[in-house]
Amino acid sequence: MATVEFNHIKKSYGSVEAIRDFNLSVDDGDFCVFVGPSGCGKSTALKMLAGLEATTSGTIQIGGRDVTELGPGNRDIAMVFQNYALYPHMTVRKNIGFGLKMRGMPGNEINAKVEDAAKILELTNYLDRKPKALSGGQRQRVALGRAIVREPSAFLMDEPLSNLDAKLRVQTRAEIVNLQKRLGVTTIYVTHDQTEALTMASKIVVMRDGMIQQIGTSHELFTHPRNIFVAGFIGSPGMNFFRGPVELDAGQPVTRFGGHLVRLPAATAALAGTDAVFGIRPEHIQLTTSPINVGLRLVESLGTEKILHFQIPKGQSLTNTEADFGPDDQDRDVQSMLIRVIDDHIYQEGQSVSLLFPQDKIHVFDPATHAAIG
Amino acid sequence: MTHLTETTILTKPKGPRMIDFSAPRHRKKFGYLLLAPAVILMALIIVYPILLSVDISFQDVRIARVGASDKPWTLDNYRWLFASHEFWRACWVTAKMVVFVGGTALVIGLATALLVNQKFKGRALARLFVALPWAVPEVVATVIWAWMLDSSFGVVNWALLRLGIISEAIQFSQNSTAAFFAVCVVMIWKGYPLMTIMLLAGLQSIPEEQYQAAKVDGASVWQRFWYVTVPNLAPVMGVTLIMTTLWVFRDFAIIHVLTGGGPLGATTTLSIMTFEQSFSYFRMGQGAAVGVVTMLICAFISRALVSRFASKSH
Amino acid sequence: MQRSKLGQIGIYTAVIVTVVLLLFPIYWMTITALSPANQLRSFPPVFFPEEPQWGVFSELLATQPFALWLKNTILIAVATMILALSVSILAAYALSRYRLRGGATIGMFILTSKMLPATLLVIPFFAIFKQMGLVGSLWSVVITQSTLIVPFCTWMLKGYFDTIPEELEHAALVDGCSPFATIFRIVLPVAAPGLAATALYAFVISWSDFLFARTFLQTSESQWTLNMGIAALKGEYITDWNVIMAASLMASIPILLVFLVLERFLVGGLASGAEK
Repeated sequence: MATVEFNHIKKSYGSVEAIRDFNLSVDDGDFCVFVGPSGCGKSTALKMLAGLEATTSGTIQIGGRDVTELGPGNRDIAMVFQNYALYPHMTVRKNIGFGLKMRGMPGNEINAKVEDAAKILELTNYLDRKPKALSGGQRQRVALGRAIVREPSAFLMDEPLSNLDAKLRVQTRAEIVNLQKRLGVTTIYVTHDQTEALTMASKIVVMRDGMIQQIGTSHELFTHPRNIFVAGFIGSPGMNFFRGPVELDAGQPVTRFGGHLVRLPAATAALAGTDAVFGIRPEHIQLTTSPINVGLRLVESLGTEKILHFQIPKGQSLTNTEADFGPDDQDRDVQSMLIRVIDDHIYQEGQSVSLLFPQDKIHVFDPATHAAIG
Repeated sequence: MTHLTETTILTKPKGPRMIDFSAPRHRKKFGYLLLAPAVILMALIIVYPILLSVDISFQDVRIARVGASDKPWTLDNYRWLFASHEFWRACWVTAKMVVFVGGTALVIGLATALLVNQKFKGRALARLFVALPWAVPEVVATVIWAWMLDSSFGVVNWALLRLGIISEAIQFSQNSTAAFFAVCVVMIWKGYPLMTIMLLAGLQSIPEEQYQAAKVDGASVWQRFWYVTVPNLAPVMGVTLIMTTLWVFRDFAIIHVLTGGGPLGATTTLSIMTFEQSFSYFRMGQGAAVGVVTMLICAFISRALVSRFASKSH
Repeated sequence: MQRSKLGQIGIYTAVIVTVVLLLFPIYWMTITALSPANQLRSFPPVFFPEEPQWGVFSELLATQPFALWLKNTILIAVATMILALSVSILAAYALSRYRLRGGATIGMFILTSKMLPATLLVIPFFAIFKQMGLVGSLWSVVITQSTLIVPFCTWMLKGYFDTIPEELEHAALVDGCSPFATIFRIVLPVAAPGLAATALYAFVISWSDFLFARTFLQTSESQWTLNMGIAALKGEYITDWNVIMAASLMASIPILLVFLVLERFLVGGLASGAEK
């Protein structure tokens, strides 16, 4: 068990900077998730931690030991890969025991450890099978077994759930969290799926374009996103945005949404006379009597949960480049805002609803820097 | 856990400045280290000999030696080459052979590939059989055909006479045209299986949906072949044609054993001429000149065809 | 897709006719070897000999140093295979896994070296071997054959290595395996079918060689290979085709057996090499 530290890590391929000044300190026993759209550098960061990629500059420490120049085998880490990377020519037993064998552990000790790990992961009956004869979920558990049997200082996991079907994914998510809590081993986990990040992590690192956007717990990220990207990326669906002026109405800051006044948090008063970007989460928009009336363009029903789409007033929507949350989010329509409701109403497309943006749920962002204000 | 950490640190080779190739910064050096033997070997057995043969082609030597008293460079060999009737005839023979063998082998190879790509019981066995001649050594293939083409008792002459195509036995060893086609037949028989194997792989990679879509659009069997199979197969056909062309250019065994280049040079290709000049007449300077020109022609052809097919397939 | 019965029959007919026509020379070789010598001078030819004559094989073994030719051929093929594989496994792995400076150039070089006219190469090699006293030695043939076989094996193996996910080796490195051990403990076992196909392919090319053996071994009869022996028999036994065909048959059987084992790997291997 150990802490993990990145100090001023940089990685460039020729003139392309994949990681710029990456600083992070993970406490002993933390479950830290790197999340971001594909190409954000999260996998590169993990590979550098594993010693599979060289750093361009900076140092990496595991348990206080500088491992920057050490090979993967000398870092006392174990890794779970996206495609599991089980050795196809070895039985499950040999797969799990390979790391111990490479460290010169005697055969009977290896066997005892492998059997223990197999018991934890319910793989005992499959120990003498080859990976080919296992289901996806079982293979995934073998990959986990290979990691835990080594009793390393840290687990590194690279999208370990993305090859499982949706149901198994949810189940395995919980299993991994429980396993990690039980073993208490510091874990660095990479995913592009923000739901995974929110549900599993004790610490989330949101990345984009090789830079850390925000570090925090799921609650912090959800309630206090530091910029438009984090706000839009976290949550499903992500935060709605519209732009508007900040004005004062009887000393209180307000903005306009299609001509109607919307009350803003008091701290915004200082911005009066400027433009800003406002954000509100789909689940925070209230459907009550209010002057703001919109027509529903689309109603997506998931049973009791419904996502209602309506159009942002002309000139108030963000541009596509401003609201770029990565290639995983291509179908997002910047012209629309979403409402997430859970009730028994039946909504029709074209129907008119009136809504309220609760004052304390509105986030305000600087239109130039995209950083959160207040 | 701490116990393990300690042992890994202790067992880590802290020996006399050993490079740990597993370290991220040294991993690339390991790649170069792995590549080194091959690079050295190829420099020794390919690059150096080629340079040496260019060197020899500029010397007036009968039996080439390494190092010992290099003769001054001269263009004599090339002057002889371009003035000699034999060289131009060899070019012509090679060209004819390339076109005839390449074309025929492509047709047979494609037909065979299309046939064994059909669904029928025993298909795997049929594929094995049609590819079999590929494994027969060239010399063996040649002597088999030499016997089949025998002027007195050969089965080919018998069949042709029987079918009434010819009225008297063909003297394959004395008739220039017959000798040329005899060589071609052996080459085609040896060369078509590779075509079949590669075209078959190409056929298998054509998505079935394309055929279904064409069918839905009402395309006939011929239209499907012409508008789906042929364009999809074009890159593979190009590559196979290049390979076969270069193979005909390089071939030595078949011609040497079957006709020895004769009669009267009717089957003397550039490759045979290179060998004859060097090892029959021991005029290695001239032989090397023929070889160098052949190499340039080969390089030019594959260059032209590769870029052409590469652009076509995109 | 449902095909009519008539269509099915048509296909079978076409397949049988094609196979019979294409394989007739192999059949003819076998039949001729087993026919009595006098029958070969009969017109029309006999297509189904009634009594196979096995004596020709013992005659061949008694009158010709066939066993010696076989031994030389095998020695050359095995030595070439080992030399070529040991070099090309490492090179192919490096080209497949590392983005090395000059890697692309080496790849191109390997591809283009296939088109070198071999008859040109034997001239400088003759000079080199003369200098080193290697003319007449089996090594001369092993070395010259490697000019063809090393590039081919490297290219073929690179294709196989490319299909192995890199994560396997990453996992092994994390497990504490050294990069070198990873090749032998992980990569080669996983690539075993490809490795076998490549090895056998090298064997087939080597077994078929005539030019190199003819150039460097012609004057030392104790070093002759099967192909040289058969070519010489053709000149010597001008009309005893049964003897020549018997020798050809015996020379082909090992390689045809190899081919039967190898064929299913070969189709994939050659095709993947061709697509690039």
